[in-house]
Amino acid sequence: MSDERQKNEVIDYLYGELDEGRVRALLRDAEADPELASDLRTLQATRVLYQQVELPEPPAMLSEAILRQEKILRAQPESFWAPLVRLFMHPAFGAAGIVVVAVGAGLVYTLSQPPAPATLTGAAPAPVATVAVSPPPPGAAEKLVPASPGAMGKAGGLREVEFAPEEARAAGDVGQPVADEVRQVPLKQAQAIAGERDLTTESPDERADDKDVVGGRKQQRSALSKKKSAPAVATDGFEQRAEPSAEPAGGFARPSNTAQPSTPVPQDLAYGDLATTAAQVESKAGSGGQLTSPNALDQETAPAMPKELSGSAGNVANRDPILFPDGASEAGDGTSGVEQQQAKPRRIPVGKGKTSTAAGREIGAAQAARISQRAKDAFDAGLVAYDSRRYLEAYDLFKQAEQHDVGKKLAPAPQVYQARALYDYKMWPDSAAIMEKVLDDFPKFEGRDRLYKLLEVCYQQIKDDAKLSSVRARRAREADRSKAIQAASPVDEPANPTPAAH
Amino acid sequence: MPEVPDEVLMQRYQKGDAQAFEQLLRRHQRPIFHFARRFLGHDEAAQDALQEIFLRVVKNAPRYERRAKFTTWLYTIARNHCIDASRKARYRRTTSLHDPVGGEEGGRSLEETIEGREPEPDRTAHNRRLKRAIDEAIAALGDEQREVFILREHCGLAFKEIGEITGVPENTVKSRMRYALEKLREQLRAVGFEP
Repeated sequence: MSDERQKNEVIDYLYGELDEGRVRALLRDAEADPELASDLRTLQATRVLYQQVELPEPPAMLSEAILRQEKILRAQPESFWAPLVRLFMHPAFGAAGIVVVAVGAGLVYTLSQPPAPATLTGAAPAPVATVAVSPPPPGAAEKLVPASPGAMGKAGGLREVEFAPEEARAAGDVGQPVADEVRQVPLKQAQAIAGERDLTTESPDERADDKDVVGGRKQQRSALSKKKSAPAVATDGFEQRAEPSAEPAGGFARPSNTAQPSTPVPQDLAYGDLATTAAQVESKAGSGGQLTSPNALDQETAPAMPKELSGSAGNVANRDPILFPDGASEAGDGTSGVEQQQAKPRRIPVGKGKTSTAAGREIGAAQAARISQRAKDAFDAGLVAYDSRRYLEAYDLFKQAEQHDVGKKLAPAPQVYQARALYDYKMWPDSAAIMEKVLDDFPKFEGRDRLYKLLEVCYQQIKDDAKLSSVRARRAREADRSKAIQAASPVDEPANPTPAAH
Repeated sequence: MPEVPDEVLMQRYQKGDAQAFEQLLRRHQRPIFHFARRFLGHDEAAQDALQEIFLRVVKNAPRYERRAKFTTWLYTIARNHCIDASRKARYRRTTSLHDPVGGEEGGRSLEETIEGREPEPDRTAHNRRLKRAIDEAIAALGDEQREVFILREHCGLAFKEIGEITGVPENTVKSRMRYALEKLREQLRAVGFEP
């Protein structure tokens, strides 16, 4: 084999990309060169051998599934932003953007250059830093105003001109110099004259006084950060939940990059209407038995749940008697009916105008309904993706559903399905972490028993014996507690829980 | 009747013709599936990839421009997806069907313990051995060689087009192809298949 060119020709020959003339030349070379001939022969034979093995055909149902999903996608109305995104993604737009940036940068550069000795001519206003100390000499036509070095570093000498006090402006006659002597003052002083402050050189304490000036935004930020750090106390069911967190609500990194669970879930996960959720999950999943065994509340396993919510009278009031035939959870935590009524989380008053949110802004009921619909759509799409075994996409959609689920009407179904999607994608550590959070945050979730089983399998897969035994112990504790509560409850308890008074 | 070019079908689909998409799917699903199967190593992942790739086609259809050859565009999507999926798969702890049961080297693989429906004549046994040898040889290739090899062998793309998809010069593509073939030859020889 002589050179690289000939090697490439061999490959071209094998795959029929060599023209006839070159083929003849190559075969002639092969006759003369046994090494080349052997190379041609064995590579050809390797290809033949490779082609003996047939790969399986894609299942027929797969193309049907793709076509079905294509229909769903096509039926979805195009988002308002889609045409804009397309426009921004267009190469011409990129080129135009580059031109604009270049021109802008050029302008900024030009303006920030130290001024060539600025001339005061005509009716140009006197510079702020220029204080007349003596009357102008007659006949002087113009005067140079050197820029102060201190000011240069900041905004250039020309900036001083912009802040000329009215008196100085008034003093300057057309065509006459303002003064024959100029006194240069630092920019800060000049700005003080002009009533402006240099925030860049002020101490933090000085700037701290500006909180009011900066306005509500700062206060809002601080309020939000406080809210983030403090445990959530859901005094207002909606306000606590109105705005989905910008962070992933599950608190997990995107599953693609890591197998380790990261930061914990924010504690203000709402404890929504489980009856609705359960019914939806049942009907959507069609698995019949996803959410079957109602368990009593275990306060030990729900340390983060605020007391007001742990009573969840609102949930009791809205529960489906089929899913909660024994009403066991009505007073499972020992709170009185009054406490439970007080604890009932407020709902979005749909159709009643505006509703306030945690951030202090207001959204309309219609918007809330839209967000809710978005959550449902995402959840439905997630189920389709899940059924089609596109688990990562399903995970993303369930996550979206969780984030858009303003009233937490779906909770904890999106979380549970996130865990299931990751489980089926064999991302067991992440899945386990989500399941643990669901168990922590939704102590009344009816599917706890199944979730425990899945969690155990997860830890078996991860081969984490310590976690496995911890989960088993916790599950046993919960079961014991549930039995104890059931034993303590009166036998002839009504099947339907008493609706909470409004 | 001459076959309608892919690019025309794609344009029709952009205008809302669902039949055009169906035609494109029927035409390309097999090579795409084989590409994904070889790239990712097993059927299940390939099925997921096939769906995902065509859904990306649907989502990105408005952005397709006729200037680009459809297959180049499609296989660029497929390649990107498979690279992502294979990276993710490296983080996953899975038991491969090819792993020996009980961790014994040389023992039967999980795949082999699953009962087949048909009797196993010699020919089938030979094919199964060969299939396994080829699977292993392909898996042993570097990503760069493997993708070039699959794109050429299974998808029938020209070296120039493969170069456009992978973003390397045509000669580099050919070098990678040659390397892949040589490596495959060595691997097959090592397990008793003399090419």
